[in-house]
Amino acid sequence: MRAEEILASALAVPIESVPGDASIATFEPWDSLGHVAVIETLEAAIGRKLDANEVLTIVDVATIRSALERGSSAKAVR
Amino acid sequence: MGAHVPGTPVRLETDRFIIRSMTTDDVGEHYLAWLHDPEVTRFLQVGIDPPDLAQLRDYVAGHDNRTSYLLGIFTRSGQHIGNQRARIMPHHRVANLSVMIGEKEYWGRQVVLECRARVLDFLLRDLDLHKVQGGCTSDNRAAIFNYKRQGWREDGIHREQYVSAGNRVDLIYFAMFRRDWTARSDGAR
Repeated sequence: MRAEEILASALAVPIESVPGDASIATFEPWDSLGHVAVIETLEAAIGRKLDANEVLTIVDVATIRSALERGSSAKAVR
Repeated sequence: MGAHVPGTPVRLETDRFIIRSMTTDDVGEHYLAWLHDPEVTRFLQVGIDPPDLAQLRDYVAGHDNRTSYLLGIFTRSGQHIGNQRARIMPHHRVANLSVMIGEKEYWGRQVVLECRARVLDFLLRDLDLHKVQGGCTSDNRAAIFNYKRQGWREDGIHREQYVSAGNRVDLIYFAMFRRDWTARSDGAR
């Protein structure tokens, strides 16, 4: 799952409407309740809960992408 | 120091809301019901041992509008929908600020962002405080969003501090400094 797909799915918006630089400061559909869904969708995608430090990093497409990559690496190591 | 005279009630306005000092006249079954609603108090310590009406009146009366402020959030039509509470350490010019939105129909409608911005203006500009601190548990992702969206800095994590829904959770502190807030809000003007 790509970072943009995480946002589109969690925020119930078309993936075409998710800019590549979407962030919590600029992307209107990304609100507080949407953020809950974003984190849950991301956790489902990587197959584990994020810890507090990781949750704090999730602020835009790039940080979601990084979390996905870390999640994939962790799976590959197992 | 702004126009506020310490010890007197506060009244602030935003586009959608009136924020004013709570009095015991504002205490009733409506407000009490929030504190007994597990959904409302899920991330609040008050839910562990919710007060009765007399205790709630005492709690409200205990705020002096000098070092402790309990500010009700009211719609323009007068509906009480939540509170913000600030406790100030005058010597250090630091405040702790917390927020509760009791009316669930207002969740997800940016009430916290709008009303907390006005209270930050009050604390950091009118009262000339140096720093405002807030916090939430690590499972309160909506609150984390609001702090990040509003530009608060992370200010430390207390590991495994609380139990929430049967799980150990961290307590995350955030800080807004006067210099950051004035730079941010001046830029927005």
